[in-house]
Amino acid sequence: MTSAESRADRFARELADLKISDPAAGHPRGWQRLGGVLMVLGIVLGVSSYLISQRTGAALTASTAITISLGGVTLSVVGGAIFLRYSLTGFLRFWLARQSFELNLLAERTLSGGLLAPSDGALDSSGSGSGSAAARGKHVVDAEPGRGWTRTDS
Amino acid sequence: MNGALPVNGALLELRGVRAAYDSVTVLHGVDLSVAAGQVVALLGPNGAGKTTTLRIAAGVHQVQSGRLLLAGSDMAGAAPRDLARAGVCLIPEGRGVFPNLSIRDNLWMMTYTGRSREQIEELTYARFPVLGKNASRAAGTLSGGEQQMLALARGLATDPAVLLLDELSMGLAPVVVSRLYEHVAEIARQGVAVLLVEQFAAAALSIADHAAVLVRGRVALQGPPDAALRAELSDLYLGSSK
Repeated sequence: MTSAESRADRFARELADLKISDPAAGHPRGWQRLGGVLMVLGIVLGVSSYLISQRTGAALTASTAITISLGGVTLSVVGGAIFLRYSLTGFLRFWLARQSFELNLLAERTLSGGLLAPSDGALDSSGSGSGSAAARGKHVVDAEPGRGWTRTDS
Repeated sequence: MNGALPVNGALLELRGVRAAYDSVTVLHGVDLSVAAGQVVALLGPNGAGKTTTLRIAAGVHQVQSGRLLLAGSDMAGAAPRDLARAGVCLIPEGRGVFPNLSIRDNLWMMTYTGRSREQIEELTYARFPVLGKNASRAAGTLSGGEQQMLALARGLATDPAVLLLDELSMGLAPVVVSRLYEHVAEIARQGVAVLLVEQFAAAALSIADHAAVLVRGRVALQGPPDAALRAELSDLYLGSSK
């Protein structure tokens, strides 16, 4: 980097140095599909070759069929692994996003006071929990009698 | 990619960008360009696709078709973290500060850029003295304007080449907004390409060199923010009076 290099020039240079991954947006989905296809193909190949090996009398054919069958099993395992890897990634991402969303929701509900706002009447000597809010014309619902908080619907 | 700036000097360029959320297409071929030192205001009513455009520019949302060019290089598909490291900074609507952390700790989070805490604080407090005075206060207890300043400061700590601002004026008093926009104009003068998304046009147009109006996922109008554009803009927002 030269000292005379402007921020824009440096930006262009740094972007040129970036290794950009496959721009296809559906990249993971493609792998997931490929994994599924390989898994099914491997099972079909394995089972059919095994059956052929059992039904033939020729030793050479039987050994070839067994080899193909083993190849099918391998294909199926590899396909299964690819499928699991990409479907689990999607699931975990969704699960994480959902967790985050629910936590946010809980925090908002708690902080907004919609559910946990202390009663305006909590300081009332009567302890009825409906004092000043009711006086301001709000509809007060005693959500948890005896716990000292209420839900207030204005 | 040769690392040289394009002839038109654009640091950020969208060409025929289409984007969708699942099966719903929200951008229908958007063309937009921002050069170094330029402020481009992207205006439009709610749901026009302004935020999606910003998200695409930051690499957060993938294009369906079309090209995202940064300094002339096609960056469609690049990870947002790579673009952020290179100098694309998105300040989202809602400011994106950590409300439970103090101003100092919020700034400290930006040391991942390689700058030291002292450097970041020095730069920030020089630009926004009010943040220096309240350095130990939790960000969540600051006023909306101060939080927006903190968000800007966090963005500037990344030494951005492209600054993407989403609804800077949201929930702020006009006097605070105009002060913030003065800072944005100053940032642009230092050579940063600024793309700002606004629903409220007046403030954004006061500092913009160029404006584009997005309506239902299409650039309905673009040009310098002169009187003609303002008149057209009011027609687009409120319906034609002709």
